[in-house]
Order: sequence, then structure tokens, then C-alpha cells
Amino acid sequence: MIFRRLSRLIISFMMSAMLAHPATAQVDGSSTPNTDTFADQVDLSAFGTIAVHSRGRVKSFDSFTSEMMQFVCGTRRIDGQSPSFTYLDLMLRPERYIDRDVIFIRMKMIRTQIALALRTAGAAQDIPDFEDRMERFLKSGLISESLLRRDSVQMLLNRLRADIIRTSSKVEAIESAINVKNPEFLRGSLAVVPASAGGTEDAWLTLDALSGSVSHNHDENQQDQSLEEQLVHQWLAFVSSWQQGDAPGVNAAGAQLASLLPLVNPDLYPAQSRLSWESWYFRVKNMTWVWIIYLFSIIPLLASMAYRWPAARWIGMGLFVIAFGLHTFAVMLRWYVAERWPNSNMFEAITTAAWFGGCFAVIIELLVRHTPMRSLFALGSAVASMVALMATRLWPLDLRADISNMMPVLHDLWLYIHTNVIIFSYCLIFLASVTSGLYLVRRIWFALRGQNGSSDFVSVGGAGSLIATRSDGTNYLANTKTTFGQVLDGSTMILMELSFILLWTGLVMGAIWADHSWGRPWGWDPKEVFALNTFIIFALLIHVRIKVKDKGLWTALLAIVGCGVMLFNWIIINFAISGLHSYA
Amino acid sequence: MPGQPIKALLDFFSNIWLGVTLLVILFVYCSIGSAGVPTRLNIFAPAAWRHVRTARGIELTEFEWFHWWPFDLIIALICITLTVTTIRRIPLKVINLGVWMIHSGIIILALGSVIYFGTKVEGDSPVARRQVEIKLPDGQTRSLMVKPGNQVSLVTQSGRYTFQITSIDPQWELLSGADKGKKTYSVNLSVQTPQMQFIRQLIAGFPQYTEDLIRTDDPNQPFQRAVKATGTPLVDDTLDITLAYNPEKHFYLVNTRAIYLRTLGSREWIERPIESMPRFNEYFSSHDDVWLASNDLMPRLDPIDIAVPSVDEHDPLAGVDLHVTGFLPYAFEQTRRIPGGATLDPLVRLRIENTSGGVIRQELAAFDPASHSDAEGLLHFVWADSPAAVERFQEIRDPLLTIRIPEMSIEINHAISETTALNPELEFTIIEGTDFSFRVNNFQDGLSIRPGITDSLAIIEIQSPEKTFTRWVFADPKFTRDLPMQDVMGGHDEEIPVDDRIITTYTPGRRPAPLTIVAGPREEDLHLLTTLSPGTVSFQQIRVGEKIEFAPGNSLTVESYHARTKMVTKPAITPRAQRDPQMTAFLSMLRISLPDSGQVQSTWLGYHHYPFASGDETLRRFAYQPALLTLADGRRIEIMFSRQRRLLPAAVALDDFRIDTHIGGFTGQTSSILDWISLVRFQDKDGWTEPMEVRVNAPQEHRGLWFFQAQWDPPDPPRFQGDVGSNGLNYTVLGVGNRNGVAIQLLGCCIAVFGMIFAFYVKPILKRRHQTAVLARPTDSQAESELEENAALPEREPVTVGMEESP
Repeated sequence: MIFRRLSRLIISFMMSAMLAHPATAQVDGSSTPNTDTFADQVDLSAFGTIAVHSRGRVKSFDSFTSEMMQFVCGTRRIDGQSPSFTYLDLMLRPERYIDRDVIFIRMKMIRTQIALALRTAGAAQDIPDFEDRMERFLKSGLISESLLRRDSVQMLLNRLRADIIRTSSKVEAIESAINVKNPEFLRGSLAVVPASAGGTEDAWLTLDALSGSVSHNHDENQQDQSLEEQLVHQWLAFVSSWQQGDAPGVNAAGAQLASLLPLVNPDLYPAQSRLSWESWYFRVKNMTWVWIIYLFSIIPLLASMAYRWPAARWIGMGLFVIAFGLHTFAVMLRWYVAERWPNSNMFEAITTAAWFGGCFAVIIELLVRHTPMRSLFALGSAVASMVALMATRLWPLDLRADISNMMPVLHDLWLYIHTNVIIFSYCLIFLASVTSGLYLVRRIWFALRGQNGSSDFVSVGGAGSLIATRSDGTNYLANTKTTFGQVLDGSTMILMELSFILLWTGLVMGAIWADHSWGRPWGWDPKEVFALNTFIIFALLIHVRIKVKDKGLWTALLAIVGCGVMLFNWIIINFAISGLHSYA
Repeated sequence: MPGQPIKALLDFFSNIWLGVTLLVILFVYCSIGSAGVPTRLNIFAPAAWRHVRTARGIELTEFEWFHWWPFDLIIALICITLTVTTIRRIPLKVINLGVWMIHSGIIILALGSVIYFGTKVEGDSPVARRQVEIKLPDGQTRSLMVKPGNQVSLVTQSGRYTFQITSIDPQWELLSGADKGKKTYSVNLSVQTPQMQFIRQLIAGFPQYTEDLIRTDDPNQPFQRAVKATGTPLVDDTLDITLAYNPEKHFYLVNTRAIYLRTLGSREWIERPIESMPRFNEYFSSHDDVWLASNDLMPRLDPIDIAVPSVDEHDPLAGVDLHVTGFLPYAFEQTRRIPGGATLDPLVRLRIENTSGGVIRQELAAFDPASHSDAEGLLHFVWADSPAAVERFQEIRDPLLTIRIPEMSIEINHAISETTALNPELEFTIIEGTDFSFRVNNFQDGLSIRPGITDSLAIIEIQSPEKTFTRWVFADPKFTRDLPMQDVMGGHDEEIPVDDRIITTYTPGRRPAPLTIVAGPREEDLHLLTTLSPGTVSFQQIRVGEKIEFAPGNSLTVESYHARTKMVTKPAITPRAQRDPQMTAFLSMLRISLPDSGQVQSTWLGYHHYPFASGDETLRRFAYQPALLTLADGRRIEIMFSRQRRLLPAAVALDDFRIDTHIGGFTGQTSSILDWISLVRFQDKDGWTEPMEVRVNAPQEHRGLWFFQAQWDPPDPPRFQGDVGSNGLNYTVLGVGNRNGVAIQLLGCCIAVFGMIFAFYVKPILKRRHQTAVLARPTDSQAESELEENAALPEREPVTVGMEESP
């Protein structure tokens, strides 16, 4: 049976993918092993939840450092340290990092060119273990600031900067890494003190700024003054303990700061629970590892279809429900932490779209529980969610998990509905491609065995009726004659019809928003055009299905083409062809 | 039969395959027009995609591509097919209501779009916030747009008046009076009258709070309120200075081009629209017209000649057609030195190769301070006007610090050989017989202090009996100053009075650059001076084209040398790799030719986003560089390349501009902004309308046009030496457009949505009811089995939306 082989193939592929998954293994970016126990003894659990004002948002320190350190070392961890530790260490003991390989260069071509430039400039003569170091650099992408500042590398970067289309943004990323790493910048960015008597419009201060001003303000309110003095005192203790490598001192001062800072202006300070959850959310890597549970649900679900094992089905559904539950928790947590619905950047669009697919799958699985379609939608949703969450792990620098404010132009009810409806329809299109893919595999199997499958499709008008229960309690597909091909084709049609309506509605809502935001409902932006193109493919599907004899085959093919156009819109248009839309 | 062709045509248009074919064509048209076509296998690389619409000969914007006749034709054919098929093939019954609604919805949408796009006008309007209206005692009036640094001078019989906007606070908080706590726009105007100098503070919306600030002798508080010093808020009430709106009458259409003309001295620009001009490719008739980008392929010569006739009776060249004879989408004006000419201005082009095969090319001009040496100062090109000068260039001398203590008549000369920059442990040198000691931190020769002024300096630390301080000793003593010792954190230094008990002068050392090319004294003389090994100077003749190995593996070749050169200004084409796609139009240039008394005058014009009336009225971040043509008859015509404009239904003024921010206020990053809000007023017969709030996502309508919040004026630090920084919020840019037919479009879309829901979800229920009704008839097991079997007999049951094939 084809499905047996297929499931084996998929299982072995996924296992190998898991083992080779780069994001699951932490790369140690250092050139020397960590022998510093200071890092192990420092406890930033309290300090990690202090509030930092950054880019118009108040976030937890752990969330903030996770975002900032990506600019320096990408997704790499320096000596296995947490981003929060690395941030503070770069800030307070910068001398340790001048010649350490901590700056991440993403593009392999640039790594090769830098290594070549250093080699031809004779860097091997004055750098110990030059070849080993370059080998590690080419592999991990981490290099030191001192090497980047060498004339030969600077000349190379100047040349690359001139190419605006291909490499200038990469050189800018390297420069911003050097700038962010600068201790002055790190200190200046750490705005953790709310204006003591101010409102929401007043700027937050750094503890350094507070230290500078506190000694001059003797006529201030006595209580505030003493609090500020305490803050400054603890901050200076924190800094000096850190610089001396005194972990207990750091821990004590850090905990003190965490308890004192909210008192500066309790009205402005975010709730401690939100900050703690935000820190937790970033410490557990945004829960994107849930993709593994989705993967483990796919395996028995496929097996249940191939072998018709009820047990496999129950295990698969059980795992799917667990994965979806965790996924739901992650989406809700992000909603709570960000204080807005998570759909304003690529990371959120992808994970939320996949979550919509999960919601849909749960509802429809309840409807089809007595039909042969059962567990198909869960399977489709598991694949969609797995791919989405895996993508965020594979390309963390393109799909950044940072929580930031929405652009002013996105604050609009219509836009909210528009984006959610569109990403929901996109997820359904992906689900339809899963059932279509299975259908095509089945047809290929038929073709290989010389069987004709051209009549293997459902023939009712309006696929929604497939799941409707008849007056006698049975279901249209609950028939011994129903083939698996018909079940797959029917599922594709259910998904396709719903996504057809949602995509159209979403486009119209987008147009309503654009009309009052940009002054035109339709701007022929590449994003819009390819959403329309996706719709055209589904319009074609509907009309081709009317005319052709082999309806199942054509439906499956066009559903996959439609999914291809949708993914093209999401990936190529977003990353290669710029448009007005930031995501979706 | 006469009906035959019509029937054949109707049959043709009622074929679903025609509809399918048209949809495929539409898909392809949309795809290649929007994403373009991939030219490489790696479709993830932005460089892989080539736009079809930007190809030479097509040259359409996205908007134009989707309103080009092929697109209109495809849509028209789809609509005809939909109409004919629906009417002829789908009976209008309840069961088919869905497909009827979808098809008619799409046709209504198409009709709405014809109205919408057929009448679409879209542009933007920059509106400055205020202008200062000045009325002098002799009755002269003048207005001055409020922007940082703007100034004007007026001459009267009693003398000269100068007004300059010294600072603008867009968030000025009123500190007293009934309006205490309100934030408004405040402008400080520096006023120099023939009698006195003061600052007049003008507050938008509150003329009653206008007051003057006058100078004091207190260095801690250089200005004080006139009311405190003299008892009256205004020190010169003969000057009538007020803030007034700065209304804008026009809006400028997106993606359009126009030439603006006026006679020199007149204020109003006269527009000449340019219809259909290329946008994306280079068009010019001679490679000599431009500076070519060195690494790109030689662009092909493709001359154009687009006539731009006058359309306005006030046109200063009415009746004379201008011609666009060249277009460059990415270029900028650049002046370069080229061989020839009568002036002595030596120029060399060099090629330096290093051991690892790296090649550096360098162009040096001996008389140009900006280009007589390379960035690192390793390479220098000089002109020696005499044999003695040649000798001087070979001289090596340490920099010299001269210290004089006038009180004790001590003078010492200290040749600087050591600095703390190289040796942080360097000891202080005691000046014998005094309590002073010093050490040199560093020295720097040829430092650019401000544009056009270079000087050399030594930074020294001086220990006096009281304290240790830093002195910057310049070769030109007027720049010499004292500063307190830098603290460890590198904090800002405040200047302190120069300690005149110890007088210092600095004489820069002389040491040729490691590689110095000496031209002269005869024009054909060219020598290479190298000081690569310490203490030795080598001097050898250079022949053009000959490679000279100045160090093992490193060589220098003078590729060309010209003693006499001239400066030529032409547009330089930006290399392809450096073209920012977002900057389309902004960096474009066109060449305009004008027939003048049997001759043709030509000039290149750079793009201007708005044709501002004068430099003073040009908003920050926008250009103002009109070209000046002098005709054979002596007339002088100013000319500018910009966009087409339309009159607004009423002039618009910006009453106030605010930003709403997230928690923590505006931090300089856009992400801290929640909303931008322009408070606008329109001129009507009674004055100004009530203020209307235009914010992002919330446009306002006035007399048929909608106004959107499009751009703002962010804070902007000084951009060059002498520039005045801006706190921003001095202007807004409003998007302006009409929206005819939007309601019809929306109606069509909604009908289609309801049709889809009906077709996919209501129709099957109706059919199922019908089937149940069949089953409910006399119990007939055969009927049931027939229905079940239908599942396997697709041809007998129409699928999905219910369009049945006619037999």
C-alpha cells in the first residue's frame, strides 16, 4: 500500500530533519571554552523581569535582551550564556569581548570573503590559530570586532556597501552589530526608570542618567529622593559587583533593583505578572518547539490512514490536541504579553495563521467525527502548524519573534479583520494542499499499478453538504462504497470553498481599509496582486472542475498551484520583491 | 442568415473554456506585471527579478500597467463572457441564485472600477505650519516661512533690519496665565534693528503672549524677558510681527512630470505638463552628455525627443515648444576634472598593486584639498613651482612646540618626538625654573576645522601650580584653547579661559607622505618621493604607464598625468548596483532643449518633488535648484523639473500638528509613535473653516476631495557645519485624492460574497431537501439506491457552483 511506504518515507525524512535541525543544537560561539563560573553563579531571574522601555514599548529585560542580542550574535549563544547575561557582560566588562568572536555574520558569501581578505592581508602571521579560527568563523558566522576593524576587512566592507541591491544591507547589519555591542549604546538603551511624577508621555530614564541627576536634586520630595538614592546605590553596587565578578553581590543588587524599580511610579509600571510571563515566554524560546509535538502527531495520524489502526488515530489525535493546546497557550500568552492580538509581524502572522488552521481543524473534526474524513483535517492542520513553527526556528532572523508596537497605520479595526481573515484563508489553502497532495500520491500509485482513478472524486454540489448529517443520522460519505480518493477530494473541496470565500472577503476588507488609509482601495501592490492571483487560481479550479472529466486530479493539481502562489506571495514577494504590506 | 454571426459570437462568449483561458491570461498578466520574471535560478534573490513593465519601450508604473489597454481588454472580455454565459447558460432560478450573484457582483465591481480608476486623481500637498509676517515702521511688509535658520534682511531709510528664526519649539508649554499647561508652537525670531538686537518670541494661537528677550551680561543667563528688565513685554513696539498660516493652494499628482518656467525675478511658476515620458531607463544621444558609471555596461544610445508645449498664456516662452531630449532615472550632477583647458591644475590617475594582488585606483588633484591625498594620508600629490620647492618637499622635520613663560622670560623649543598616544606612561617635562610641566598627548596636522579652514594642532597636558589641564595648541594661535582634564568617562568638556601665564605655539612638522608624487617645476616633470624606510628619502622620475616597485611586491603606476585640466559638470549615472529602488523619480534627471534664435540651448534638470517658489519656502529634506537659462535676447528664464499640479478646491492651512505616542513619549524611533495628527483648515468665503483632524486611517473630505495624513516632519539634527537643526513638526504632507465609485465597487464585492455563501452552503441544502423530498415519496428502495449511486455518476450531477453544461 502506497500510504504505508509513504508514511515510512515521511517518518524517516522527519527524523533526519530533526537530527540535522540547526536550531535545536546550540552552537558554542566562543573560541575558548567557558571556564568562568561567574556566569553560572549569577542569578538574573529577578533582574530579568524588570521593565525596559524600548521602541515605544515597555518589555521585560529578558525579552529586550533577546531582541537586542540578535543584532549582535544572531541566534548564537556566547559560551552558552543567556542573552541577558551576555548583554550585561558586554556592557559592563566590554574588554573581555574585544577580541572574542561574538559578532554574527549571516551571509556565507561575506564570511568567505572576510576570511579571504584577512588571509591575503597576512593576518595569519599575527593571529594565533588563524586557520582554526577562520574555520570556526565560516561555520558559526561569529567573528570578533577587532578582526572586523582591520583595514583589509574594512576595505572589503566598503566595497560591499556600494552594492545596494545585494550586499549593502548585510554590511549595515555588521555595522549595527558593532554599534549595538558598544557598551555606551547598551548602557544608553537600558531605560528602566519610569518618570517618577510623569505620565505616559514622559521618557523613561537609564539608571546611569538617574545616577547623574540624583546628586543635584536635593529639593525633591524626600520619599522619592530616598528611593532614587537607593536605586542609584544598588545600581552602582550591581555594576561594581559585576565588574569584579562578584556573583552574590550581583544577585543581591539585581534583586533589590527589581523590587525597587516598580515603586518609582507604580501607575506606569507594568504588572509584574506580565513581565514575568514575558520573560518566561522568551526563555522558553517562544514555544516554537511545539512543532516537534505536531510532528509526533503526524506520524500516527498518517499511520492510522495507512493501516486503519484506531489506536494510532487516537494517539495521533491526542498528540495533536496536546500540541494545539500548547500552541493556543503560546498565542494567548503572546496576546497577553504584547497587549494586542498577535498578527503584526511575520512571526506572528505565521504562527497565528497556523493556529487559526488548528481552530478550524478542531471544529470540523467534531463535525466529521462519524465520517471517513475524520482526522484528515487534524493531519492537515498538524502539517501546517509544524511547517509554520519550524520555519520560525529555521529562519529566526527573518521571522523575528520580538514583540514590537504596530505601525500607526495598522491601528484599524478593518485591518485587524482583514489580516486575520486573509491569514486564515491562507492556512486553509495550505490545508487543502495537504489533502490534494495525498490525493495526488494516491493517483500516482494508481497510475503505477495501471489502474484508472479518473472517477475518484465526490460529485455533490457544494462540498459543505458532505459533512452535513442526513435525516437518518448517517452521513453522505458514510457509505461502504466511498473511496479514500473521494474522501480526500471532498476534504479539498470543503477547504477550498471556505478559503475562496474568506480570501475574497479578506481582500475586500483590505480594500475598505486601504481606501480610508492610503486613499485608494487597490494600489496594485505586489502583495495585493498575488492575493488576487491566488483567488484567480481558485476561480479557475471551480470552472475547470465543471468542465473536465477527471475532476479529482485537476482539483488537486490546481489546489497545489494555488498553495504555491500563496506561498510565493508570502515568501518571494515578502523577501525578494518589496511591497507596502509588511507581512501576510 | 443575419442572426448567424451573432449567434456564433454569443456561443463563443458562452464557452466556459473561454472564461478559463481569459483567467489564465489575467493570471499571467498580473504576475509578470507585478513580480516580473525571474532571470536566475535563485528566485529568492531580489536581483533575480526583472520587471516587465519597466522594460525599455514599455516604461509603465504599476498603476499604469494595470490600466494599460491589454489589461482593460482582458477585463472587458471576462465581463462579456460572464454576462453572456450567465444569461444564456444559467437559468435564473433560486437554486442558481449564488452563481448569478457572484457573476453580477463581479460585473458591478468592474463597472465601479471603471468609474473609480477612470476619474482617479491622486496627489499630495505639503503644508507648512506658519509664516512670520513682518511689518516695518515705514510700512514695508515681508513674510518669512517658519523653518529653522530662515532669515531675511530688509533695508529702510533708517538702516537695515535682519530677522532670523533661531529656534522653534513645536511643543512649547505655556507656563503662566489662563492657558497654563497648554502646548503650542513657539517661534523665536532674532531681530536686528538699526538700533538694537533682541529675540521676539511668537506663540501660535496666542498673539497676546508675544514678548521680547534681551541680552544680559550674565553668562549663566544670556537672555532675559524684556518685561522683567524694562517692565514692558516688547522692547520695540514699532515692529509689527505676527504668526500667520502658510496656506497651500495646490496638490501635486503622483507619478507625473512637468516643467515649470518663470522669468527670473517673478514668483509664480508656470506649469508645462509632460505627457508620457520614460521612467526606468536611460535615454540620451551621446555618451559625452553624461559621466558613465565605470563598472556597468556602456548604456546604449537611445535619443528621445518629446515636445513639451506651453499650455498657459502666462508662460514666459508661450508658443515655443521645449523638448525633452534626454532622461536618466538614476543620476546626480557631478563636477570632475578632465585633461585640457588652460589652467594649471595637475591631475594624476594611479594604480597601486599590493603583494596579494589587490588593486587600488586613485585620482589625485594637486591643488584640490579634498583630493590631493588618499583617505589614509599615505599618498600625496603635490605641485612644486620651483626647484627649491622640490627640495623642500624632501625635507624631514619634527613638529615643534614652543613654550614661553612671559613672566620669567623663559622660552623653550620642544621637538615633539614622543606622545602619550604612543606611550601612555610618558612623563611630564618640567620647564626649568618654573612650576609648570607639560607632556604632549598627540598632534594632528592638516585638520579640517570647518569647511575651507584647515589647521594643525598639538594636544598637550599642562601641570600648573594649581591644576592640570589640557591645551589645544593650534598653529594659528587664535584657535588655541584650554579645557579641563577629560574625566575617565570621557564626559563633555567645557572650555575654560586660556591660562596666559604660559604661551604656546605649534609649528607643524614636515614629513612627506610615505608616497608623494611631485609634479613640476616644468609641467612635464613628475617624480616619486618615498619615505618608506625611516630617515631615508628616495626620489625618482616617473614615466606615465611605467610600473614602479616602491616596496617588494608593491607597485605604483601612473596611468595618466595632466598638468592642465578643466572642471566639467555633467550628470553622473549611478552604477546599477547602487540604485535604491525606493528612490525612483527622486534621483531622476532630464535634459531639456530649447530652440533659441536658430540655436538650441540644452541643460540637465534634476527632479524636484515640489516646485517651491523659493529656497526660503522649501521645506526641510526637499531640493530647490532651479536652472537658469539666458536667452539670446537677454531674457533670463528659470526652469525646474517637477510634477504636475492641480488647484485644491480651497487653500488648506495647517493649524496644528501633533504626534500621539506610546508609553514613554517620542524616542526618535517611529515605533514609539501611535498616530500623526494634522489639524487643517480650509479657506472659504468667510475666512477659515473649523479645524478638521486628519490622522492616519481617518481622512477628511472637503468639497469632493479626501485628505489623508501622508508624511510628517521628524526632528532632524544639523546636517552639515553651520546648519541649524530642526525639532521637526514644522509641516505636514497631506495625501489628496478622490474616491468616485468606491460605493459601487463595495456593493459588487458584497453581492459576490453573498453569492459565494449561497452557492457553497445554501444551494446544497436546497438540493438535499429536494433529494429528501424525492425519498419521501412512496417508499421506493430503488429511488434511494439511485440517489446513493449518484455519487459515482458525476456527469449526472452538477458540481459546486452549479453551472451546468448545456447539452
